[in-house]
Amino acid sequence: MLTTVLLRRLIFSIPTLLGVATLAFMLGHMSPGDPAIAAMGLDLEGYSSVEPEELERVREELGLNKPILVQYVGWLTRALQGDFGTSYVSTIEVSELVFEALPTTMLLLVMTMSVSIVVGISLGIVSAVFKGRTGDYIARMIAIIGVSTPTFWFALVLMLCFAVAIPIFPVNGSFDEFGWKAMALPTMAIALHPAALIARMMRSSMLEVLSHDMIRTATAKGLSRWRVYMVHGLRNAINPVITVIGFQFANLMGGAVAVEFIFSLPGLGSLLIEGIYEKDILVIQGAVLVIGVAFALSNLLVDLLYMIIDPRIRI
Amino acid sequence: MDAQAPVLELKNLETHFETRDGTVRAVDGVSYSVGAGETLAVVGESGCGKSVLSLSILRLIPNPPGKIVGGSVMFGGEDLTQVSEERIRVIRGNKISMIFQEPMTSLNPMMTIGKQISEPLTQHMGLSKKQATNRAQEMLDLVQIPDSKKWLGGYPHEMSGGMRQRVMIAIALACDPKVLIADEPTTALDVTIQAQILLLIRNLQKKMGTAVIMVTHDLGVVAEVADRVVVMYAGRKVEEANVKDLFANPQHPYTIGLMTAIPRLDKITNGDDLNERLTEIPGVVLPLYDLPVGCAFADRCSFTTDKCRTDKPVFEEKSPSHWAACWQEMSS
Ligand SMILES: Nc1ncnc2c1ncn2[C@@H]1O[C@H](COP(=O)(O)OP(=O)(O)OP(=O)(O)O)[C@@H](O)[C@H]1O
Ligand SMILES: [Mg+2]
Repeated sequence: MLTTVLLRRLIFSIPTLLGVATLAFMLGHMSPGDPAIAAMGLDLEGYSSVEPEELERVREELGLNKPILVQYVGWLTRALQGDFGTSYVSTIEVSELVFEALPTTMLLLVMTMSVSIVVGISLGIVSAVFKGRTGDYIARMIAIIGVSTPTFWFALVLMLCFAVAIPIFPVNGSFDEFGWKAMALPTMAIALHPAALIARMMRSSMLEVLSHDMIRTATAKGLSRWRVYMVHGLRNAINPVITVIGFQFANLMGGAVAVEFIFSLPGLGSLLIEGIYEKDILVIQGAVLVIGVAFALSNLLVDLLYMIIDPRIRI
Repeated sequence: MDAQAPVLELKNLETHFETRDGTVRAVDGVSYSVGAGETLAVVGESGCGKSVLSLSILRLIPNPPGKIVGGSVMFGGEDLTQVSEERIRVIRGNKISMIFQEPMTSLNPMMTIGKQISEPLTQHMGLSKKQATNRAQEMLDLVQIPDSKKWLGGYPHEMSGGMRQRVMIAIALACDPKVLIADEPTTALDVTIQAQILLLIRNLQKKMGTAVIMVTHDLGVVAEVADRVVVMYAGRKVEEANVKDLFANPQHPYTIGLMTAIPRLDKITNGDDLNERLTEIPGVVLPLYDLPVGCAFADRCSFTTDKCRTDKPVFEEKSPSHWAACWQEMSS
């Protein structure tokens, strides 16, 4: 039954994915500047020195003169086969660039997600269980700070504190160079905001559930507090939290782009920003497409998780 | 039946809630006892403190705002109001169990029926998962749920209200408790289902020798199941008697009022709900944070004298084993 639902959801996500692809293509094309100039390795200064015929030749070569629709269809059919074209600037295949960048971003996102889920849910539970007491105030204080702190600013603060002032972690560098140490600060920087939002949702959802009759039933069975909260309370309170976690994925990607760049982590975010600097259209399109698809798939995953957890919505 | 030593004995139990309006004396010095195999009914209008009284026995009152401020609950030589958290957990769901009014919301929607029945079994009787599941199925058979094996893996939302209340009974009786507290177990159910559930509780009680505290606002239920009756008004006990004596010879004007308020057949066929709350005694229950010095029922009573307004009636034996708190002598 779950497989039919899965199949149906997959089919329904095709339009979304197409939309994502279209957006990715357009974003690449709408960004200002002339990709042909970039492809020739020139900046705007050099623009005037280029022979118009020469520029025209490069445009023709790159297919930039074809109607936009033709370019789009061609790009899409190739993208569907995993071919995102060759970078104008570095002349390396975009799929290869993406493939190299993907593990770093995935690792960063998985770590961030895990940290924010564990921290957020714990804080939220502490807050709800000790409602109105010290534990609640501390947890809520952390959550308020977390929600109102911009990710890039927190990243810089972390860098100043724990890489510059007290050099425990590297200022920048990849996982290959420094291992887990390279991931620690970026993870913390991105996790703060989602952790705070998860904590808030967890608190209010848990408080709501703890006032339900079934909690009284569970207590009247003679179960320990721990069991009442964790087995009966948490299980019923977790659904809205999962929704929040799902939505956080979008923010995470945004945060990851900035933070990867700040810490020079060679992930998709850095690839994208470099692509934008270089006016490297195909790189921009490839990176945006992969990020978008990952986002759509993560939403699908959240929906499925929902159905596995809640017996009432398995239709 | 009531000659033996009581299994559970409440003495002057007082439970208060601190609210913005003041201290709500939801239970104000109530005493009663119940023996093995006996059914004690606790009756009274909505808001008179029946649920708070029942929840106080197992210390299930939300604190804050609620607190047991006085009296004792004696069970097996221990005062349950004084024992440790660990100790009361050993009693809950094991020696003393409870069924609640709302079968629709009292079960966990995310947990299988089998798991919910197994929980107290693994908790209190140290059964393995498999043993507990087997016993859970036995319990489902016992409460007459057909297809018990299938239902072990079912969820509450797939069941009707009556079936859910049966499951609640199965959970409550799984560990073979000495006392079952049933807080209006049939109020939320259809009339026909009501009778079935009451019969089920009665049969299981006979089989297991459980003492039952049946909380209700329905004198019809009282007449059907009770051996002895405690009538509550505004957080206090106003009358206590054997069920026969009570119906034959009620001693408190409030009890008399309740009896005349029983829906009659002619009214039922007119489409009135048998379930309706007893609000036919003129007036309303006073707010429990602002009770008068004298009798709390004085404003609604047709026998009121000046003494009723100035002195609290003493709870006294009007005739053998028949107690009431009223300054007036009721003749039958
Ligand atoms: N959590 C609470 N906070 C404040 N007051 C409460 C709380 N719970 C109960 N009370 C008060 O205690 C009194 C007794 O309530 P209780 O629920 O015991 O009535 P009841 O006799 O069970 O009525 P019903 O027939 O409607 O179930 C009520 O006046 C109610 O306002
Ligand atoms: Mg009640």
